[in-house]
Amino acid sequence: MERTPLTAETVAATGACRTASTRHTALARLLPVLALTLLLASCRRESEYFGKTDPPEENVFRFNNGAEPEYLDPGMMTANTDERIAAMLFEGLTQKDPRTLQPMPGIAERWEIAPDGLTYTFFLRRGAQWSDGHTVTAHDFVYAWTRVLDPKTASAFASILYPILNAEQFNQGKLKDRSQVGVEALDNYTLRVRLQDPVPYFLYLTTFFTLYPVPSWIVEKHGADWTRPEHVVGNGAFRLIEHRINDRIVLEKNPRYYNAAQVRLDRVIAYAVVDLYTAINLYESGEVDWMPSNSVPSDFVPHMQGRFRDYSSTPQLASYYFTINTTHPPFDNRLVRRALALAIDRRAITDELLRGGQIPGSNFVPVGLPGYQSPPGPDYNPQEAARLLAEAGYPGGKGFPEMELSFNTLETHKRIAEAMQQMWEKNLGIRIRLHNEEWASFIKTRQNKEHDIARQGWIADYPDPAAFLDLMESTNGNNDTGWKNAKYDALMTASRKETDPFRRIELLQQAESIVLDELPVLPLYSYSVNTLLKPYVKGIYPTSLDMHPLNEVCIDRRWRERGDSPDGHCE
Amino acid sequence: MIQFILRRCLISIPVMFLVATTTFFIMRLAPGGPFLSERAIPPEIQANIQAKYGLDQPLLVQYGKYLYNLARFDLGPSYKYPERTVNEIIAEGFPVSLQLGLAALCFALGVGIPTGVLAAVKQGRAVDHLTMGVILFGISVPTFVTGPLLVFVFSLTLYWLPPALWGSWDQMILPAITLGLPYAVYIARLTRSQLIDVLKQDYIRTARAKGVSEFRILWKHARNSTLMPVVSFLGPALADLVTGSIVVEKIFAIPGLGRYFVESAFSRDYTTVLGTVVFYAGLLIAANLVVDVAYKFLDPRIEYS
Repeated sequence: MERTPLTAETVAATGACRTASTRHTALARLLPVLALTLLLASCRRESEYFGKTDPPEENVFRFNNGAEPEYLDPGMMTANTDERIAAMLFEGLTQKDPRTLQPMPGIAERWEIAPDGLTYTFFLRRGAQWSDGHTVTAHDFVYAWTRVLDPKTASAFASILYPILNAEQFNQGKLKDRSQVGVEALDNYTLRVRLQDPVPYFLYLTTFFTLYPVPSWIVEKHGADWTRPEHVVGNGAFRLIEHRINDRIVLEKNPRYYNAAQVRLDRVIAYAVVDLYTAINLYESGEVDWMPSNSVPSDFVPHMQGRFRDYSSTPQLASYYFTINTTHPPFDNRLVRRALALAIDRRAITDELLRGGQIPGSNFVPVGLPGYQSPPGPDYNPQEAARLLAEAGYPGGKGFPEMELSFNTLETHKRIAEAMQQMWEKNLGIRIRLHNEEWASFIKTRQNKEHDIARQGWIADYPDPAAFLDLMESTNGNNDTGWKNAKYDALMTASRKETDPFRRIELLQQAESIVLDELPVLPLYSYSVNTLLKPYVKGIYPTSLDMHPLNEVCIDRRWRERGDSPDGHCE
Repeated sequence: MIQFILRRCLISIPVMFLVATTTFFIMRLAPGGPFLSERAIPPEIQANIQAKYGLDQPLLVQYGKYLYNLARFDLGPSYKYPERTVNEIIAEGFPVSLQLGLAALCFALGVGIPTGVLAAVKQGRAVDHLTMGVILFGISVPTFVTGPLLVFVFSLTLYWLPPALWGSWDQMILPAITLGLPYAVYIARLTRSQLIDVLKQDYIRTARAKGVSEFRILWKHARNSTLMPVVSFLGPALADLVTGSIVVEKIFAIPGLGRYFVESAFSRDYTTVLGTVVFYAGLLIAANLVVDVAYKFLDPRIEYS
């Protein structure tokens, strides 16, 4: 179907029609203006902090979790809103250090890794209990993991377990016998895991929610209802006492938790406030203590930086990039893709347009991974870009067909897309149409490769370059580019078999340099996480994966004497 | 009368059927589906998920099953929140929307009627012009402006009232005012014009001539005929308040039913879309029926054929 060329204004207008709710869109347009007025008005108070700074009267920690969790069942969930709740209800073999996110002993007291990196033996602590008094055993992990992999469970995140021997075959129904999967309880307190490949991040995966144990007797008895407050049984620091859908989840300290002495909060309340302006009002008026994960409205961000001590912006292991559909001309031509990449002034987008602490770069793997340095990529060079486009047969953009840039409907994406459109027009003389779609249609368009260029964002699940580089393998389901490169695939396969960590990093760097040369994707920047945290909350630290274990968080009533650093204690 | 109610109930069955059918097919025409995610799910798993929810069956079979379940008032599990059923979502969300709607209506009546009376009594004087000016403002300013303004003044500047959330009485005040304001001004106008008319009637002049006090005239003689149109406005107003609170629910983070209207369509949560639409359709039909019956009681001259 022929689509009418869209200008920025008509994009907005058709977007409004498509949502069939003009009130809604008008609201979305007016709110930022109002909210900004509010922000400016509040700045007049010239406080160092945004809003009230009096701790809550009770020993309770309240945060806005954002969206309502889809699941509380750790084996089924996929979203970080769900993860924040599950991480309080359950604990895996290992748990994340709140500062570094490195795995540290959890239910497993210690572990042994065989020299070939393929066999892990976990020794479980003896005092760990479920909240109903059952002992946490190795069998609970075997049950939970095979349940996630069972095709009948249809868990959307089962693939995170694929490093385990035979996990993929079992999950895809090619192997029927679940005992062939490489996880086995040698006795109640010893768990042996055998891997397919010696992936170095497996220990990190044992902190991950998909690998949490679940209580088989409760799951079998209540089915899909097992996570209701009246049924659920967990082994984490908190237990669920109330769940009002699209409103709040209330947790209280779990007295049966093996490390309960270290848990200093009585209660945690996670609100599900979706509207960012409402959420920030709650923070300002002191009704919530923490606004995690970019719940600060993007038009507030430039005004918060450097002004409020409770605002922070941290680089995140997440990449914002554009996916090019390389299956048809002119984008099947590497020169054209390079020209597009070289014509983008990334610094202008992050430093002038977004101003939210994003790190501009043409690297595909985001900055901030310890021990990994991306090879140089196609940085801004408009002359070279124009030359390449001419070499590809489109001098000054002459004869270049009108292509389309698609993004899901969101103000930030629209502004970025408009900036790209202008840069390409100015530097290359080509005209790119903009096309916005609401989320579900957009995903469908991209997965069906019906796009020319489409917006894409990816957040690492584990701190390793492979979390990104795996995406570009020809067999990867998330590779929406249609790009296939045998050398790249071979390098990725080799990296998986490599046990020498330095050699492995070299292989991954070589693989990334192929991506940055061929450019099936156009990386723009590494994301940053913008958060607000009240100065009286201790124990939440900035982390590159935007994950924050809350077990040891506490409320410091004497913070005015002791300072507002998240380090420190509350006694 | 009973015959009338029965007939109306019977007529509503094909109406509901049409609503359910149209929604079902329109929803399925939208691209994408409920279990799409940014992270590609292996095709085998995707197939398992589809099978788990019966989405792999032919559309007509799904439609038949849906109608069968609907006839048993079983709206199925939500596709977006699979640990919840749509029945539960409605059971949790609707009382909240209803509370909000009733609170807004109380505000609208409590403010609207006295204002209207005041304006009518002082007709043509400064008080009248002032209240009518405020009313003009109240009608022209939409809720998504009133809401944040109230929050700014009462929550973020004076710190008197919480800016959002739902559960305690103080959290009800701002949303009830925001939602009720347009209705309050409508009621005020209605009361004013009706009372002005009533006060011109001969029997009022007679009462005045007999030296009845002004208050007694209003309370004893003018009250019922003034309130008649207001009462008949209440039925549709309540239905409107309960179903039309989407924006207010969003601004004040109220866990009512309104938001599902919008959000479930975006997330292609088929069951929730169908459930809420059918539920609201039923509610509107019931509300209209109640109003018609009430008219009959209020004004016996009305004939139903």
